Amino acid sequence: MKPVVYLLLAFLVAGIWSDLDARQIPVWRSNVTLWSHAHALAPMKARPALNYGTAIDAIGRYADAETLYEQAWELADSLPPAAKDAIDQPVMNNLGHLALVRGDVPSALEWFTKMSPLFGPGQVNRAIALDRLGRCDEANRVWHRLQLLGEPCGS
Amino acid sequence: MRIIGLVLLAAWTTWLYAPVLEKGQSAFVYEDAVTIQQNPMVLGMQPISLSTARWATWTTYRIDAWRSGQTSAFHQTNLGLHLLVGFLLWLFLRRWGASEFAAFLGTAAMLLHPITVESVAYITSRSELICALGVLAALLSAPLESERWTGWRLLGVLLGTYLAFGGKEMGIVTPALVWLIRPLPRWTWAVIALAALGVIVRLNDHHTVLGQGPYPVVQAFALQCVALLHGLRLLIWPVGLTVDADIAAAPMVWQYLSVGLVSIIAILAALARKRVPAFALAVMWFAIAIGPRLFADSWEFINEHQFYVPLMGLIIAGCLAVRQSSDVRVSTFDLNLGAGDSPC
Repeated sequence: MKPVVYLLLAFLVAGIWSDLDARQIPVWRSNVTLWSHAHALAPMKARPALNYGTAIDAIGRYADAETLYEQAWELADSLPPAAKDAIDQPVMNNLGHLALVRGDVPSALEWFTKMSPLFGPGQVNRAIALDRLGRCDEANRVWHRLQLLGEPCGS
Repeated sequence: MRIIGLVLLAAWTTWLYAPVLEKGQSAFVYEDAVTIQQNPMVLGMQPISLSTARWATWTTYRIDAWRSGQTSAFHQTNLGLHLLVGFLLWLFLRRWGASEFAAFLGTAAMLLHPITVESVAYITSRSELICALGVLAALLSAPLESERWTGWRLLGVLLGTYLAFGGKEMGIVTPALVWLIRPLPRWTWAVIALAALGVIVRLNDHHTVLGQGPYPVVQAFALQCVALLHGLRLLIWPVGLTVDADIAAAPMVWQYLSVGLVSIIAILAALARKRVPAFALAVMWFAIAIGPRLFADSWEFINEHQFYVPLMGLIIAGCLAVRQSSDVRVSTFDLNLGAGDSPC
């Protein structure tokens, strides 16, 4: 092939790759763009659904986030037990957090109580929920277990 | 002309990455929280040990945090490292006899291939960039066929390996990658064997190996093969790039076919090493640079950013394939890349 053909081919490939780069690079701007893209490409995978939900939860899109958490919960059923648990714990924590945001503390506590006692963020939220319900002794026990200083209930 | 071409290429690459370079245009994502925002070594609350893996990665993070702490600073450094990788690759290809056009094409491929986006735009993937720098530094230290190994060159390989290891743990395989291009003196094999032993011990201590993840051993290996083939597909047809591909969704039949395919490719490379040395070089490079990941824990399958260093090998092998001469040899299985038998 003549050198000019190689050159044209090279420009064509460079152009195509540059276009693909230009589409892919902005995906990495934020967690919202990253995980919405990942979820769109892997709609049957639990982790992108969970992470996308977490990302939009952080910007106040609670209803959409809840839908994604429930989706992640269902999708995790197809995973091996250890991998399923790695999804279920943050899902329960996040659903409980959403209940707290809505002011539904008893529902939130239900979620946090179902969680593993080894999942730190969930136990922190559990202590917060117990504190809000005025169940101070239980809250302080959770705080102590978390090796935090027990704050007096209501303070 | 060559300088202008490289400068234009660098400028074009910089323009492509503009969406993440400007202040306020990007945020820390995914594992950046753990790697950077909550990392005591980056925050300056814990010293960085120069004897552990990723020491160079943590150091650059700390510098960026000191510089401004903004994500733009981290992204600028990532892009700078990527451009430096491109330049060193060009230097290496030219040193080993590639034509200006071929070297420029190889550099453009490295800078523009979409699979490198994750390594550059994702701050946590900086480890790949630094590892690649170390590998290139080691490759540039290797003597040409007409040259001999000297103490300085061996020191260069050692320092390159140290830098690659400072990028990420897999950098320890750098001497083996150098061996593909130029055989090392026999006595260095003792050092390499010790280093390999160290890697195995470290993998055992700090990382899980097959069977300790959520999947059974055989299926975990099969899924890693699926991930490897998925990455190979992306290298050839870079559509569908994502941070979290659904590897586990692969049908069982495809999982075991993948094991077969990977095995066939390895066997073909071994059988065809004399007739198609470029193919053998590419496969050997992949086997060294990414092969160990096949046996790593299955919590994480092989990701797109882990193809950064393998892509370099593919480009080097591609330059080799351009050669029409049948007496080009590669330094695998007692063959050398001979004097005048340059990669391109």
